Amino acid sequence: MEIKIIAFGSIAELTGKEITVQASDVDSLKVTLQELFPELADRKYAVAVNMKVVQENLELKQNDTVALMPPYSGG
Amino acid sequence: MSKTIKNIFIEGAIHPTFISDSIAKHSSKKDIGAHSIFLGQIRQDVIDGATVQAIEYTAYETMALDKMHEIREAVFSKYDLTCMHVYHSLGVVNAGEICLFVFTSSKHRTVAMEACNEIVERIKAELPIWGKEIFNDESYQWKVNR
Repeated sequence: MEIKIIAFGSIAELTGKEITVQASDVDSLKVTLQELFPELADRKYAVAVNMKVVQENLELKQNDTVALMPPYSGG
Repeated sequence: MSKTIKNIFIEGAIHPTFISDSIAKHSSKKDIGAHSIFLGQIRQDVIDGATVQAIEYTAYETMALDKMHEIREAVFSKYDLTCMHVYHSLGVVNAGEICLFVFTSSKHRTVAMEACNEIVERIKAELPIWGKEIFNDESYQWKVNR
């Protein structure tokens, strides 16, 4: 299904701030993203699904929002 | 449980008058015996000969506010605080200007200081905010927190 991706900071410079990708879970999404943007392989980033950071694979549902987030540097 | 999400974001620098007004507002709360304030200021680093002129902040705002709410609740339950205020800049903040303002108040100093410190550390580690260091030659690099 189509998943809405939002990206931030240095990652957004690679992928654009908002894209739509076909994926069924987080792992397959990462593979697809790396095919689309090979430079992502060398980047460190966290994935959040609906504002929650996910460490393990997670099934994605229609209307989920996935965020690609480089290391934080607030403050 | 109702969940009131407070906004912490301010467009541009946090002005010293905003900070002093915030302090002044607490004079009516007579049970406070100690305030602790942390102010983050944009440092004019020189990196490979280029001088940092400003930092431009962006954030995943909804997630940051959600996370800040969680931090606020956790700190209030851990420490006996009278109040807590947090403000973070978004957009461009020039070197020498304030970009983070954390303000805790309590009956006694230790609680206020420890809580303030914990909030600052958690903000740096847990809020999805990114700083882009803009140099005087118009180049830039993404900031990395230490």
